[in-house]
Amino acid sequence: MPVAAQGASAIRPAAPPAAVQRRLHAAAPEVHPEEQALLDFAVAFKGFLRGPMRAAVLARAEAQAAAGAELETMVPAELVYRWWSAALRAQQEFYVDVTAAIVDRQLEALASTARAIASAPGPGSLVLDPRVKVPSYQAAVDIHCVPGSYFLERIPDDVGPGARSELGSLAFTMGQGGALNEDKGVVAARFVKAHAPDLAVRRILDLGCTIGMSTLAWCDAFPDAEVHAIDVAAPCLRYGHARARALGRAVHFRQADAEAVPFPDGSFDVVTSHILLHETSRAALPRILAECFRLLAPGGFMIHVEVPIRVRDRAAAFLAGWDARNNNEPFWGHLAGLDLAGLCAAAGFPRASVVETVVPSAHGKPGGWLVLAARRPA
Amino acid sequence: MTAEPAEAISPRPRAARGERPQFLAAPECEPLLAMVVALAAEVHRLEDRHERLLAALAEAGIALGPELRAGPGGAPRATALVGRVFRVLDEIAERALRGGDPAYAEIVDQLGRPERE
Repeated sequence: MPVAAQGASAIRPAAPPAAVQRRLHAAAPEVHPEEQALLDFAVAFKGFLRGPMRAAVLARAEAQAAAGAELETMVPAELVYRWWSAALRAQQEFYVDVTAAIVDRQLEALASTARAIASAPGPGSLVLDPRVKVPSYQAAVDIHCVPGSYFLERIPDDVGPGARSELGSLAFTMGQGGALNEDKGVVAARFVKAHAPDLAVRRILDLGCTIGMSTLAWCDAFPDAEVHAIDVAAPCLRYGHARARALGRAVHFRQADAEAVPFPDGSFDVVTSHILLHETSRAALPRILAECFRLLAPGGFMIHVEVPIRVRDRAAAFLAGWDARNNNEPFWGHLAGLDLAGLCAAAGFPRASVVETVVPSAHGKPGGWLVLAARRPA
Repeated sequence: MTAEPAEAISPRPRAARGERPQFLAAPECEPLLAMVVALAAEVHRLEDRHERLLAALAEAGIALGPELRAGPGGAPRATALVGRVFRVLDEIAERALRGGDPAYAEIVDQLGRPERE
C-alpha cells in the first residue's frame, strides 16, 4: 500500500537536531542518533560473539583439556576459535574507532567545556603535575588496543582520551556496569560497609581512577567523606574533574603515580582501586600495595576490585585470558598467577586481615568481581 | 589584520602499539573482516535513519501502510541485523559442537550402491 500523503508540508522534525543529540552529562560528548546507531551495532556484535560461538569455543577447549592437550597450541588451531577471535578483535577495533571518531569531531569543544566547568565555582578540585612520569608499563602499551591509550594530547587541555574512555567503557561493558559504569565502585563501597562496619570513613583515596567512573560511587556511598582520586593521565583527570562536577559530585583529582603518592602517612581511612592491578606490572604491584599500607590511618581499609582472574578450570581460564593475549592486557595473565595475599602481607598488612574473594556485580555483570582487601591494625 | 589560520590538529593514531594478532590462516582476510564489520554497521546506521524517517512521517500525520511502519527500536534491530549478516559464524559454531558426521557420509555412499542380490 502506498503512502497516503496528508499535509506533507507539515513534515519536520519535532525538535531541532541539537535537542535529539544525546549526552550523558554536561561535560560528555554529544552523540548523534547516527553515531548511536554505530554504537548499538558494536554492542549487538559483541553480544553475538558472546553467544553460541563463545559456547562452542569453550566446549572445544573443554574437549581439548579433557584429552590432555596443550590448550595454547591446540585450541587456536580450531576453525571456530580462529573466526571467533578474528571477529572479537575486529569488534574491539571497531568500537574503539567509532568512539574515537565521536570524540574527535568535537575535541576542541569538549576541552573548552571542561575548561569552563573547571574554572567556574564547583565541588571538588583538580591538581595536575607535569612532573609526573607515566610508568613504563603504561607508556609502552596501548591498553585495550586504544591507539594513544589514556595519554594522547593533541590540543591544549585535551580531554579526548577521557571522553573516549567513557563512551568506550559503556560499549565494552554493554551497559552491565551501570548507567555511568559505576559498578566496581558500588561493589567496593558495599564491601567496606559490610566488612568494616565500625570504620569511620572520613577520607577515601581511589588509585588509578582514570575518569572517576568508580570514584563517584564512593561519593554516593559515603556522602560525608572527602573523596580523592589520582591517576597519571592528565587528559583523563581533566575530563574526570569536569564530569564529576557535571554530575554534582565532589572529588579531589590529582595527577600522581600510585607507586609514589604525594600524601602523608596515614592520610586515608579507605584506599581503593578498580581494575588497576592488572594494568600495572610485577615490579610495581608490591610498591603500590606498600603505598596503600603507608597511606592508611590505623584501622584503615584497603580494597582493590579486579576482574575475576582466579579461574581454576583450564578451559575457562584459557578463554578468560583471551584479552590478556589479544587485547593488550599484558599483565593480566601474570596477575592471575600471583600470591596476592602474600604480597599484601609483605606490604605490612596482617595476613589474617587479607581477604580475597569473588563478589557479585551490583548490575548483573556475569562472573562478578574479585575483591582483594586487607585492614591496617588499629 | 589577517586572522592567523587555526593550527591543524594532528590526526589521531589508528594502530595500537604491539603486533596485531593474526587468527585466520590467510592474514589478508582479517582486514577484509574489519571492512565487513564496518559495512554492516553502516547498513544498520542507514536502517536506523530510515526508521527515524518513517517515525517522523507517522508523527507528522502521514498515514503509512503496515509494511512501512517503524519497526522495533535501535538495539533489537542491530541484534537482528548482526544475526543475519554473521549467520555463517553461528553455523561454524554449530559444526564445531557437532563434530564430524561419518554416518552422513555412509548414507551418501550407500545411495549410489547397486541393490544387493
